[in-house]
Amino acid sequence: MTVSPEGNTRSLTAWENAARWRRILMALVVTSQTAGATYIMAGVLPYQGSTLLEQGLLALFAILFIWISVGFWMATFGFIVRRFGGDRHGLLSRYPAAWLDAYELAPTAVVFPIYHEDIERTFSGIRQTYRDLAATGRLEAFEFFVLSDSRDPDIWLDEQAAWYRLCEELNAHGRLHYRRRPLNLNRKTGNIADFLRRWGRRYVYMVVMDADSLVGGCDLVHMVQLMQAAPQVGILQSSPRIVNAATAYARLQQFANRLYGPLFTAGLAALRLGDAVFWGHNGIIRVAAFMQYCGLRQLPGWGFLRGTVLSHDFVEAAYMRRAGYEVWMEPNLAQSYEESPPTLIDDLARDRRWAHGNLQHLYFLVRPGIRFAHRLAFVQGIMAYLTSPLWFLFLALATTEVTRFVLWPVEYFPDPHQLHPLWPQWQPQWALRLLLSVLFLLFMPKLFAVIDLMLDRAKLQAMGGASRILLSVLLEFLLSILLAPIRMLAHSRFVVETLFNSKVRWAGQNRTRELDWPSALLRHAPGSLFALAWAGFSWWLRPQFVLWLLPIALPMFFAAPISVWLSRFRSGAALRRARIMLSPEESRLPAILSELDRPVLPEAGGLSAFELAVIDPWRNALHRQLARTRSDRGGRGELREALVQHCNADGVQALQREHRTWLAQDAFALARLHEVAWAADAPACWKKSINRLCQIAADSPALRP
Amino acid sequence: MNREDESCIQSINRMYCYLRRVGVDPQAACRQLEALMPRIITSGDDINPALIIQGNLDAIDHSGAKAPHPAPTPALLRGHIRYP
Repeated sequence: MTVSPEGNTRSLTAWENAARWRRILMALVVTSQTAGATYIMAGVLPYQGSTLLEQGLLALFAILFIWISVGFWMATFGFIVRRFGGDRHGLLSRYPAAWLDAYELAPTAVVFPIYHEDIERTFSGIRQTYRDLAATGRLEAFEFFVLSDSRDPDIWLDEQAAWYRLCEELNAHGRLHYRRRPLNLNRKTGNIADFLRRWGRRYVYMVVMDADSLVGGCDLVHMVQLMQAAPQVGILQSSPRIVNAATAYARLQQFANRLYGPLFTAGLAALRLGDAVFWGHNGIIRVAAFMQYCGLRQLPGWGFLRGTVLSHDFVEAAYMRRAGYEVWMEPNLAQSYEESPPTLIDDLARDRRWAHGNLQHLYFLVRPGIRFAHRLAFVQGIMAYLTSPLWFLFLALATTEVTRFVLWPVEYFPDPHQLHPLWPQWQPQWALRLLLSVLFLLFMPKLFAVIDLMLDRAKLQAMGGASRILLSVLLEFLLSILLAPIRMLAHSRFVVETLFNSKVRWAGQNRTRELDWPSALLRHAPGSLFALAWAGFSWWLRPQFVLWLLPIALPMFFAAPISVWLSRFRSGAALRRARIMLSPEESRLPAILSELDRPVLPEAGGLSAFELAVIDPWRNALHRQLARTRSDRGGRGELREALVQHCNADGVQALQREHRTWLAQDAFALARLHEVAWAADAPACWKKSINRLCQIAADSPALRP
Repeated sequence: MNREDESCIQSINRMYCYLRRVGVDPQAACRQLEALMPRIITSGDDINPALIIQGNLDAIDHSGAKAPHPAPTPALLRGHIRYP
């Protein structure tokens, strides 16, 4: 029995029954495989797990093996589902596209919550999604919202200009909206909540996008139609594909996502069915249910379990399901895209936030009413980061075990009343068997993915053909081996920092810059020194042991050059030219990705957004209309005059950010500054800026859309 | 070139640049300058394009200039978020 959205109990549906049996099967295979592997591991240890140290090693091994096994079986499930023509319980199987066309569309908001993002990329993405949707002829049901939380006026002034230029270009006035929160409480959740408080009752559905998200028009229409056809669905998550990778690191992520991703997402979707998770973007939400059941309070606990919920998406899915609505992931919505961070450091910066957010799920793990499947999702999210310090601990214990044998004599009679000696036994053939088994589990999903691809001729050709795929898989495997220890160390640090409640920086993500050498050396130096010390100690202890440690210590030691090389656009371009790690979208560019590089804003000639807001007549007129027309009361008149004088006398650079923000939000101040800047006796700083502006005007053939 | 000529040329340059930044095409900008020439000569150094042109953009015919008129955000239809 289960509970419907209306609160009535009812018998299990077909998909719930299927999900139950699939999960039981999954639990059986994972448990038996882990038990077997742990038994072999006990045989590998010299005292077969009879000492306290070895018991610790065995416990850690069992926990870590579970996640290796889960990954293997997830991919296997996905492979089977894909080879047998898809999941008959999936939403798109039950509601085929042709049948869905009968459904009318309902008012839908497509929202882009942004915070200090790359403006060109964000707005060109919005342009492409909007145009693709317009091409379907079903635009009238949709409205787009750019929900900015940006605080730096040099960013949000550009956002305003880019938004208005898009409105002009797309003729989207009144359909593409821009809203900026001057007070950005509760980060992204607060941003969405603010939108819902203002316009929540205006829309039936809301598609949440990231700054780098793109969803094809047909998919947006299908998502709304699916929600219309299945009123019991609260959230429908698409499976975003990584595109537009330019650096070697991003290409690596893109290739793994395009080759292995389909198997894992198919397996995940088949196991979760209507108990899926939400990934926070590229998904559609039933607004009324979301407002009713998914509001997130500040966490009331202590330490890291206090404050804003950072990984809110999993919790929202769990709350939606708790209320009786279903949450689905649909891997067959093909035109859902996102981008990868360009460098390892940027990826790790994102992981830092996610680690904190996922560990906060410990609070929700024990909340009443959460479905078991979502409690497991929380555990999975927590373990995504917790496994790193556990691996680290496992390696540390293994080193301790070796140290004990080398530095201290073997104790044959640890117990004084013992009759028989306790012989340490070395079974290298068991160790080899275990190693091969683990490698099998890690490598088989990749092999399944290659077989799956080989059976799809069109996609195989689009990804470079059989020989290029094999080369790419080999390179991806080698690079993954290099990156795994670096990630392990970083994630271990993140977990410790979270437990000590160290502050998480909320900053826009870098999406366009390479990593420079000083930053790389600074970030990786502690890890490199640690690896050197560890390897040196092992060499001193027993040189053979270093051979086991090298696959971990070497990448950690060379983390900086690995990071820098992977962050290079040149490396990425070379790989692309060689058709290595190619994605299907690079061979056959879909229309939605075709003009992502076309600029939205005109050339600024090195002038800041604030300078342009003051001196560029068109931008000044725009920003004045979007600013507040505040009266002079309450000392505002004096403050305005003082800031204007300060700006004119000392130049823009002398103003602090809050002063520039105040001026840019005030229509009268913008007008005053504009007049002063264009006067014949304007201060020298403005004359210089105007000269630069005129230079752009002279160079630019078409200044306005 | 005397000082008056220089200030006139600077005023014309500033005015032309302003018109172009507003989005006026080069021919229309020249026509506008021609119309404004008596004023520029009379005012000399004191002319401020921000005071003359800003606010009159839509009055410049057939020039490609278009003052920004952002549409208002949709009317509020407030929703209430519950925190279970």
